[in-house]
Amino acid sequence: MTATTDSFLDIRELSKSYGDSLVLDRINLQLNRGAVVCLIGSSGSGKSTLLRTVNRLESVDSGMIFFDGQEITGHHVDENQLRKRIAMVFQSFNLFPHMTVLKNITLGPRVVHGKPTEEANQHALELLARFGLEGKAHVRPDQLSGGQQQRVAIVRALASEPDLLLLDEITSALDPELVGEVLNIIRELKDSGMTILMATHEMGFAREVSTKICFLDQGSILEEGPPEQLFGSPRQPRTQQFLQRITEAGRL
Amino acid sequence: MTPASPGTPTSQTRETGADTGAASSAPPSQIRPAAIASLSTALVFGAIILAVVNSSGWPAFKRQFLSQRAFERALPEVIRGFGLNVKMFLIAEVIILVFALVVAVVRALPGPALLPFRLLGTLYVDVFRGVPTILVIYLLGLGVPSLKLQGVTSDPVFWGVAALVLSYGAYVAEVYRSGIESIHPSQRAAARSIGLTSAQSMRYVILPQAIRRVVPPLLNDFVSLQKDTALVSILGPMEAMRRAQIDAAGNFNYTAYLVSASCFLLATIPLARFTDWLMRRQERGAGR
Repeated sequence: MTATTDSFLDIRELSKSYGDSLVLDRINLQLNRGAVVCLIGSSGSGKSTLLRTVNRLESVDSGMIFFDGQEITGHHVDENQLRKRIAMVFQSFNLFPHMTVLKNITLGPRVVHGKPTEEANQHALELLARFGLEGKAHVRPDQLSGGQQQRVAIVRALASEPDLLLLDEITSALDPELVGEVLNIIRELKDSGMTILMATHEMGFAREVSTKICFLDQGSILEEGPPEQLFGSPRQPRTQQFLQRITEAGRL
Repeated sequence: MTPASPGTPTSQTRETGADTGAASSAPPSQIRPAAIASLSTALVFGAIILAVVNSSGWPAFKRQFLSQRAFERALPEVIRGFGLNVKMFLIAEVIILVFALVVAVVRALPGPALLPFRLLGTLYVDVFRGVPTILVIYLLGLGVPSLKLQGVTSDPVFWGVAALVLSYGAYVAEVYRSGIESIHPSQRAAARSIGLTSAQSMRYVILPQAIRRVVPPLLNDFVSLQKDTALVSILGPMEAMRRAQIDAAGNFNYTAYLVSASCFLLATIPLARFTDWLMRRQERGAGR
């Protein structure tokens, strides 16, 4: 199937359920190249599931996803090639504990893309230096702080030089004082033109970097718009309620 | 023996220490439990030994099972036989490690195309975990040679080892599988997200972590395998148990069995202690 769309990522009428419960309910979402779109909403609203379907870690029941003009939910899609272009970072880092930082980063390039070890190492060391992780190449993940681990996980995602980055609440498992160093990386990636789709609870950050905010509620996008509009004058009562609770908790 | 509740004895010793005003070099809190432990051990073991030695059958037992002459006669024979046990153990161990890993991985791989192989793996594990090892040895060691198949060996050692591999392979496959399943699904998701296939995720991410976790239970199974090589004696090869049997039958004296038992003990105890040590070390590592 070819696309009749100009969007870099175009999600159309996407639905998915686990048994009787509908987790994604006819989601429509478009991203242009270089866009930063934040998914907000309470836990269980479908943010993570949506991200995972774009990376094909979850199957879908109906609907379509076009990425760079190609439909990517079908059986014919080479998902390992796709994942070279769409990378994902997880809430709990998910680094491989039995490998050094360098091996974590180069595993994909070496094994999946057949890059020579020398070249993969070189590229990994450059990325580590760029994100302030020089000297950490040969330590194991459990010797790093949470913030450092998550930065390594981001570097691992970037190692295959992806065009789209999926970030699944990447600061939620971090101590508050470590959140900043991770968000700084995302700012830098945004400035370098990376397309980013992220689920987050960091409302201040979402407001600052996003080109668009989507509020998810019970599996559907209830409201979307530029950050000033969605945070400033939300139209839906549910959105107002959610933002009010966040404000009361001191997160906005 | 360390005291289960260190609070009470410590406070008592502190009191006595204060009464006598003694400031000995060894901490008093360790002396009393140690003294109690040795006294109680000596009492219990002394009582058991006394009861056995004073039983009415003891003189006959001593002749039948603890004869020095029979010991000296049987020792070289049994030790020579034990070499075959060690050989069978080592061959079976290596094959089991590889074979069981294949079974476990096949059972753990996803995908509808692999369903028949998963079923086959499950069937194998169910059957060979359920049938007693000694029966597997009989069925293979006596059954297959009786078919008189062209080009198929009837060597009892071969079929004995094959039976041990099939029987223990089922257990070890389950140990591997428990290790594979203990790895959090997020590790697989992370591996898949960087583009690895299911098989590559297994090879580079899941298995290296899983195998590290199951080394102690694996060693435990091998302690058991080491002694179960004696079961192959029912097919007739001259291993330690068989040689002890022959000596015992020819001389109406069972001392050779004790010799054989000692051989197995000398081999299994170090392995068992090593397993314990490894487990403790791993527990400490997990708490880091």
